[in-house]
Amino acid sequence: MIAGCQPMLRRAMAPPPLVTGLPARKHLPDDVLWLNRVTFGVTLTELDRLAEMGKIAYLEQQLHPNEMGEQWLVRLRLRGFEIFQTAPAELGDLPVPEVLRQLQQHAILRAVYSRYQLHERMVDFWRDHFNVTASKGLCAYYLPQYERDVLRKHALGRFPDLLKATARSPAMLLYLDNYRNRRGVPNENYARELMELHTLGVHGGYTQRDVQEVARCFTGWTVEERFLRPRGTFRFDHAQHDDGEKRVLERYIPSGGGESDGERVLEMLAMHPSTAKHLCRKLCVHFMGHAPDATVHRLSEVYLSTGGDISEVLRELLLSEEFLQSPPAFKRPFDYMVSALRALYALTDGNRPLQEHLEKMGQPLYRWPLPDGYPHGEEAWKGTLLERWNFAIALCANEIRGTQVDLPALVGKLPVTDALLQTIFCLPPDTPSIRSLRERLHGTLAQQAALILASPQFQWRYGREA
Amino acid sequence: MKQTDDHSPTRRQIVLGGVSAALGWFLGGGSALAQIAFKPARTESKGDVLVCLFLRGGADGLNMVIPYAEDAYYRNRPSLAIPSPSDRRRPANERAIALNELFALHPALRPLYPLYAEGKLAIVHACGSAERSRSHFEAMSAMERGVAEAKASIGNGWIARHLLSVPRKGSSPLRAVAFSNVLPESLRGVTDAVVLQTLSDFRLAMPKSMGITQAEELQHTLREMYAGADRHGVNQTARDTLQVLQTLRRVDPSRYRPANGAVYPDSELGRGLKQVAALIKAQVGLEVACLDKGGWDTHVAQGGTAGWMAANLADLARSLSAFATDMGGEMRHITLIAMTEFGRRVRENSGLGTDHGRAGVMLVLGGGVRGGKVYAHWPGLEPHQLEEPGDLRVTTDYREVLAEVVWKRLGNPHIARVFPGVNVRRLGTLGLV
Repeated sequence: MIAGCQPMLRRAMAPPPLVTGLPARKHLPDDVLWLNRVTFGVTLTELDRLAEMGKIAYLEQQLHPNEMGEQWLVRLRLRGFEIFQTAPAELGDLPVPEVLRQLQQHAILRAVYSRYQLHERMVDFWRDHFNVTASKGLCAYYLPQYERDVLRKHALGRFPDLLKATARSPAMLLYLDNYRNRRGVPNENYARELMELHTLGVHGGYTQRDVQEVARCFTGWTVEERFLRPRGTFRFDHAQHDDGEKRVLERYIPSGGGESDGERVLEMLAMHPSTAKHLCRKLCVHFMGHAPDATVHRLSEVYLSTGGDISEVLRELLLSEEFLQSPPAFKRPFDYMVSALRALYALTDGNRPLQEHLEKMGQPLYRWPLPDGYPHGEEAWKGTLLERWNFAIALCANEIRGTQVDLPALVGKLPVTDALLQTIFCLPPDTPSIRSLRERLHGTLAQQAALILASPQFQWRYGREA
Repeated sequence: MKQTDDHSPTRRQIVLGGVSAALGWFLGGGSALAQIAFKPARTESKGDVLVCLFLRGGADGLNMVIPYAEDAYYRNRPSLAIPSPSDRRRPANERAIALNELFALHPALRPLYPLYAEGKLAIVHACGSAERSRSHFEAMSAMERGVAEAKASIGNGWIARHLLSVPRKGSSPLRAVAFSNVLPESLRGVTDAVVLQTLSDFRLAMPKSMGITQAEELQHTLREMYAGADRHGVNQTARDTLQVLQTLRRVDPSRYRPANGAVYPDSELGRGLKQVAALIKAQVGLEVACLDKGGWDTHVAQGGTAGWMAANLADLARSLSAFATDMGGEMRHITLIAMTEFGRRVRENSGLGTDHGRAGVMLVLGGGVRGGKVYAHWPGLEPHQLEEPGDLRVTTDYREVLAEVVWKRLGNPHIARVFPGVNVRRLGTLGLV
């Protein structure tokens, strides 16, 4: 079905004739910078939408993703995934690599083509924040459900809801071993990561005693495995629950609470000031590359006063002055790949050949082995520049199976170098860093495009100094 | 020390090896390891290159390093047993090569004997993890993550944790290389480990439409682009990457000529180690190389002195020996570990093979290794000494071996971070390096 759609897909996803004349394409540099940080990569088309709608209305639309708002061919393509049509317990017929292939393909397609780019960036954020690796046990089979019904569903909602959904998800119960956290033989793995990574942060003010007590609260939270029951769903096993009294973060939890023990803990943690700070700090790093204390403080106040409303925090962050002032941030491989595909209006199926490039760059999605998610920052990612360069070359030479770029159509009859620079960076060619890059470019259209994507300038979400 | 193998060309070495070996192995006694007197510490390593070779499939330690003094070994393996070094009924080249009064090398491992005799190769027997599932997947996962059992919640690899706990020495793009198809679990958790099938994969992959001159032009332009200083070190890394590309082209691994007359077998392992040698000599900043050798899951037709496993062993021995010869004096700064997820059952099965067992053998090779010894708390092979359903008991935690190497040879004191849960106070009691 998908193969048959290629020409239609091209029409729907490929750019309209884009650079119709350079002078007409004057955009505010601040808008370019803003969009490039809100989305997976600024494009001329997206800039036009922003200009048309105005920033406030654009942001509101981004904060209210709606499947029906996607282009119909994108919707059609996204409907074809077997992993999202099958219950986790029945997915076992597929080999794990196939589940992983579809998961990655789905994530790539959405990141490249979705209109709701902010939603996609937040899903990317939560995927790391609540990381579950496909490499552990049966986790892979629960990841599609986790992605759709937990991360995507609550990505822009209230954090307490998201936290609760992760806590009850079979993916997380399996990944952090809570499924075998039982009365008398507590397993502290989830309890510890819940506080260290998901909520309070490592210096968030909890003790080893709290870890043990929280673990007791979650005894009996497990995954249904019994015959003729809804296998692979959340189950509270009262018989395995430690129903004694507990003390968590200086608060008393009376005995006999059953399932509500865990729920109380989650509520307590979700609205804790340390959690607000921890989350807001991470959001700053995700969108700005750094986290100024004053911003974190202000965002935390918004978080606490709105009951942990993620959209409210994002409004505050994305419309703040410092958001535009932030220094360049090094793209992670997924950011880099998606921004390149978007910049060149590539037509891609997001399949294995593309995924293999991402893997070589060091960021195969859903495969980070630790509960802390893929790291941020150039220190973690600068070691695989060669693979970025190879991706740039392969992409521009149309050597990635299932992915095509039409460079001649992008530049039209315009001077090649300027048209490429303008399409890819959306900044005027006389911007200092663009100008210095411009002097180095030479060769064929494909070569110049590859050089631009391989350049230091394109490895960063540029900051104001660009 | 009795040594009767007059036909062996390496008789002198055997005797020498036997003498030093006699200090190092102990029959029975539980506290044997503790009895090893500490030698004065050798020159502390500033950080060896670590070569980690994983023998995948569960290599049969009992037929690699044969406990020939155990009657039970011969009783349990009527068709697979390797003839004892003193078995006059068999030609010398079919007999095991004595290491001491208990252990002998499989004859196919003969190329390793000189390394053992020179004290560069140490053997750890009855060694393994606490993982009892006997599942390849679980046991490999446990060992590559450096944990006691697969169910441990630690998700990243032990080599990754090592690399993360030492200061970066430079910005080499070839700090950690796996010659493999996929990133081994031991390296999971570092973002810049490189997976290569061959060294020639580390290059700018120019499409068919672009010729070699364009590749050079491209590199030249990249060098210009990344010329400036930047406070993040990205430009420096880019320049180092381009430098390595140039170095590799100069070295041209495909035409690499080993030193000292070393001849690598034309096998995956031989080719892999040859490339590791080329990388080390090219001084591109390699800190860790991971390699795999499969084919050890010998359930059927394992063979004895000849056959499937013997061929595997011959390749292993010839590859390691060629590597050591090639590297020569440079072995002072290299530690190579060969490990496997588990050993195999003591009793041979009806298919003339062996099933998944427990303890196996580890090999540690390098200039800083106290070799010429078989390190073992030997648990014995009599029925009451085995672990159900008939397996060699694990008496040395494989992590103690790795931890000593990480500490003493890789110069990383953060053992608790690399091997959480390992008893740090016991560290060094093995005295292997």
